[in-house]
Amino acid sequence: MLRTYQLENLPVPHEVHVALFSNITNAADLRKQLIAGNADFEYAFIDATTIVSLAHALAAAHMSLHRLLVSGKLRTHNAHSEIVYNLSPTNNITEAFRRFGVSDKTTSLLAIKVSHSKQPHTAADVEKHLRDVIQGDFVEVSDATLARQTDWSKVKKYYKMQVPQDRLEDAETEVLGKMVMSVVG
Amino acid sequence: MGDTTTIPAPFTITPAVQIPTPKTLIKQGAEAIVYRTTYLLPTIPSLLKYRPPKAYRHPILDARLTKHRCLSEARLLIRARSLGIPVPAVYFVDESRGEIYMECIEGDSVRDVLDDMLMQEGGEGKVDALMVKMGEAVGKLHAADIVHGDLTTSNVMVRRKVRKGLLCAAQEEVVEHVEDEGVVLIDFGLGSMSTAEEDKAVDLYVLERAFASTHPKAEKLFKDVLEAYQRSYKKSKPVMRRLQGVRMRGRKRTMIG
Repeated sequence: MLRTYQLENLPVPHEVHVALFSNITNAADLRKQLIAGNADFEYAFIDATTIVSLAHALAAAHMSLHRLLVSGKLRTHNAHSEIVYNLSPTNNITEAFRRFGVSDKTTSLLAIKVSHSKQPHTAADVEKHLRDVIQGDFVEVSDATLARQTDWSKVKKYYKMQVPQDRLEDAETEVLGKMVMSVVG
Repeated sequence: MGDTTTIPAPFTITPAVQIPTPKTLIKQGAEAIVYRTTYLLPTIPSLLKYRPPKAYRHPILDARLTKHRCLSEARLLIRARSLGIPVPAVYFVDESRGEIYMECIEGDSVRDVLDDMLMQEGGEGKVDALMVKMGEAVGKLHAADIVHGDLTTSNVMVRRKVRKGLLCAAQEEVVEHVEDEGVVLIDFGLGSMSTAEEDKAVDLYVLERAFASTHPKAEKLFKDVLEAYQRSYKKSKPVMRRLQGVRMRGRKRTMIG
């Protein structure tokens, strides 16, 4: 089931649709569509193994919507590519997509679609489209299901985590901090 | 827009209005206003530190200063956090508006906690434990070459509640024995990166003065802090030596400003 959120501290009406898939078999096709710039495939397709928690994914969406709707300073083509870029702790766009975006080998995928007055998308439409185009198992989005996909060796490497964080909570907040790093330098 | 008649109500279309996130003022300082609010979801508490524009400054200069201070504070907090130093986690920064969203620490300042503890019968043991925690935190901070810049007993918090679980499913639990929980260093608005012994010694000196001015038994307490500090910061010898010098002459080395 797709989940829809409205995020706090964004003064403009919006919605964030989040869907999780596992055992994907057509990741290469999805990536091809993204590269071709197919407007129907305007999603943030994230390799779910790099995601620690729901807050992690929502934080990236929040940053993107904030740039789109509040400050008007997107650094990439659109709000969706911006979500993938926001996950990265560095300013290297290519690297961000290679690490956090869908790759040919991706088997678990987190898809995010944002909706706002200029480009409204209903949850039902988004869900239907995703079910049509993604070959894989639709998984309920939650901290628990996301945690099952997390590849900690990747996360530790990508976010340069030096000190072992015993509590998952602390690892989560460290990741959130590192995402802000690309902004604060 | 899709076929809205067949879909259940809350998932139809993007709502036309956005309900503003509530925020409550908790502190107003000279430079920033601090609100309690939420981040991402209504269930995630957050602290908003907002630096409002100053009308008496030239707008361009004002924007630059605000941005610079915002970024430097966030940078220090993130760096400290990733090194395991107890500081609030940073959630989100909008440097051009002067906003930092960070973890909301539920608790009281060491200053208030100390007063309470010293009033109680047999509070001494708790106080000692607290002093050790404080010394360790400051020691770690200085070992990472981060200088706080305004290290007072008001800027060290003692958690009264801890968050259990991940943010989206966050639950808070009340801490029963305050002295068991760690302290948290807050307000890095005047902080900086520095390897200079002088800067670190001044941090300690400011803390010592804060103790002396608010707590009658200060001397003994601060000694405990310093002992823990030296244990957790291996290269603290030169800083301790320098602290002697700072004590003799006061905080300002140069006679400017």
